[in-house]
Amino acid sequence: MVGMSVLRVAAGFAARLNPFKQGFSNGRLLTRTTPKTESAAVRYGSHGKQMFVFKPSDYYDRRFLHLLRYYILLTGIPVAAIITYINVFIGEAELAEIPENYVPEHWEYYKHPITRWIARNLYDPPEKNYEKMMALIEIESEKAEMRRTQMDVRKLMREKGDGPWYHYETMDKSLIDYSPKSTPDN
Amino acid sequence: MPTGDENVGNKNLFFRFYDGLYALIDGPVTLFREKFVEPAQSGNKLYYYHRRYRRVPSIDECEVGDPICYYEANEQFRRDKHVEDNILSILRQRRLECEHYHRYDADKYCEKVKQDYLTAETNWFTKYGDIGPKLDVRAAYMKQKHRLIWERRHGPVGSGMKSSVTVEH
Repeated sequence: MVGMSVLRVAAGFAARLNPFKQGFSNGRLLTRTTPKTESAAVRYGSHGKQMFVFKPSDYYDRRFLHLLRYYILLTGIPVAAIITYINVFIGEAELAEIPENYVPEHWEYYKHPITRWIARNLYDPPEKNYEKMMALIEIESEKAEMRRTQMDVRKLMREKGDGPWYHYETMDKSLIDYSPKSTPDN
Repeated sequence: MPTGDENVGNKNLFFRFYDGLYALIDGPVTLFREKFVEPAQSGNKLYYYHRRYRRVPSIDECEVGDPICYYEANEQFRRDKHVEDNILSILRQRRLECEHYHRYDADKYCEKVKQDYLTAETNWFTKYGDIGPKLDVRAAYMKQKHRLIWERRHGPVGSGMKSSVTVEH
């Protein structure tokens, strides 16, 4: 109480010293609260006072997302457009009975036009794969049979010795020179 | 999906409301398809067919040392197994749908469907079951052979083994 009166006197003294400097509105220091800026009717033409906001750099994040979208859509949009065109204007095939005396081509067994195109231009027909597999099996089985026969023949010729294999040529007996051993005292 | 039959007259209010909601989304889509898409595609229509495979000699008609006959019999066995797997799957779906539809009355309405499925499952297991990872035509053939010999010695499968068996010729 006493302090407040002292301060009031001091405020009045300060006002007298410097009458043009209006601190808070002269003479009523401490009784009047700070006027809030929102409650005062101030209207700006701009967005108010410009603030310099401190935040970490989002340059790298935004650059990454921009590049991500760019590279995905670079091929994504043409691919999506082409596939939409094919699905709307060419359309999927319809199931039908095989007509009489007609052998369908191998791509005519698939439904979607892109699958048909791939089967027609990029892939071998499944019949060709089947025949290739059977050809490989045939070759390998013939090789195995030949190897088995060769093994049997080799075993028998070694045993019996009467065949053309394991037949080693020896020298002619008439070429042997018995002269070193012909007399007992040599 | 729209509620039930279109030809049922006097649908109640809830069904009509639901049909209206369904048509809100389905209507424009169907309109687009019937007005634009079908005429564009009807010029050169594509058709596709189902493959028909010829029957080749099965494993019991193959010579012992003939790997090509075995390969063809094996491929035919795998195709037939695919077909039988899907037949079993369809019968199983029928039974499940019947039981789900009738719920607590399933015992009354679903007996035949259930018996169909159980016989098909038993037969499938007799032919393909318990063979293991190397499921090829030779393994299935040997399984059949062993089962027939066992049945010859001991009676039908499921009636127990006889204690002493004299080897028959």
